[in-house]
Amino acid sequence: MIDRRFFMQSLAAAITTALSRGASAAQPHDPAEVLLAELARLEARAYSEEGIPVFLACEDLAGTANGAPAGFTPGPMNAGLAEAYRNYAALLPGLERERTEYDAAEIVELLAERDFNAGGVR
Amino acid sequence: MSLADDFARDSAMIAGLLATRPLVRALNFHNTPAHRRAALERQLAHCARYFSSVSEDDLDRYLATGRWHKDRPGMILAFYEGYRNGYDVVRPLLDKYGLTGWFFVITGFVDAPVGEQLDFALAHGIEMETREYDDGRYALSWDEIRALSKQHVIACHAMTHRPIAPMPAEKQRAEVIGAQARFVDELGHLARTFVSWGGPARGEDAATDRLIDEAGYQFQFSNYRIQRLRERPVGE
Repeated sequence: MIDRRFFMQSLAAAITTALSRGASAAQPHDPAEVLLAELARLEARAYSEEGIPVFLACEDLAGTANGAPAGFTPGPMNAGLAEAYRNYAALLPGLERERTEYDAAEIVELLAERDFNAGGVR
Repeated sequence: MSLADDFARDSAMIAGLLATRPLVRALNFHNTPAHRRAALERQLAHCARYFSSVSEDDLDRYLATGRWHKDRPGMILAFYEGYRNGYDVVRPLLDKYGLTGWFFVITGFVDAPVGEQLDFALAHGIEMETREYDDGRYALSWDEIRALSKQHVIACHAMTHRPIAPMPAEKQRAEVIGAQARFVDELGHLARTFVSWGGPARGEDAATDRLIDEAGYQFQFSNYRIQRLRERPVGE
């Protein structure tokens, strides 16, 4: 089995090299290329020693509750994140990278990192 | 099931959760060695500026009502496993920025004799890339956990950091109820929050669900969810 950390660090290094070859190549515009580069960057983090932003969905199962809290109405944040997730999930199978069991979680982490860096402002 | 099938299944579930559930942000940490203090402080300072801390009572209110009641978005600062540097490195920074940390403690790690904590960690998937304590104590002590509990959340991360569902019944019981008993013994009250290795959610294993109910946990954390299991903490 390929060591995931070594594989992703190698991939990140390869992408960094490719992006440094010229100004036109340094800013990928194709959404799939952007996603590929972003996932490689995230995966190169030291998961065991760095703070990793995530989103957690809240459910109320107390008493007779069975899902979203009774007073909750989904808002623009929900719609925006769900759409962004679906868009990335549709791109991911076509990326030239090794599939892993962490693929879905990493899309969530990508969205959460952007939100974190933006201070949670939408 | 192939990885592609798993991804399709997980993606449908995740997109559904993002679209329909109230969300809370979390920042997940594991080992927090001193040589990463500066990066940790940058992240915590950012949290203090843009986000609000979350207590278990805050979470209870949010899950009961579906409405977040503070001006800034809530951010759960989660510190997993029970590393000693949670006290030495994290605690002073949380205090400095007035933040609430959530310490998810593996009771078997904390209870392991000092000379055996490294072996316990290596045998139970507790990352030890940085080993910064020459005396061999890598886990929080119960005295440190008691001190943390005065201002922070102490949550249960089970007993051994192993998947619970495949275990025989007696070991499952030790992971869920035995771990809770350690919090009662050492802190004088139940832990309200539980998460086990791998983050299975409510409904994924009926035996584990029954034990979580019996142990009196109010919240279950998992990979993509926080679930409120009872309206009030046991004893209130």
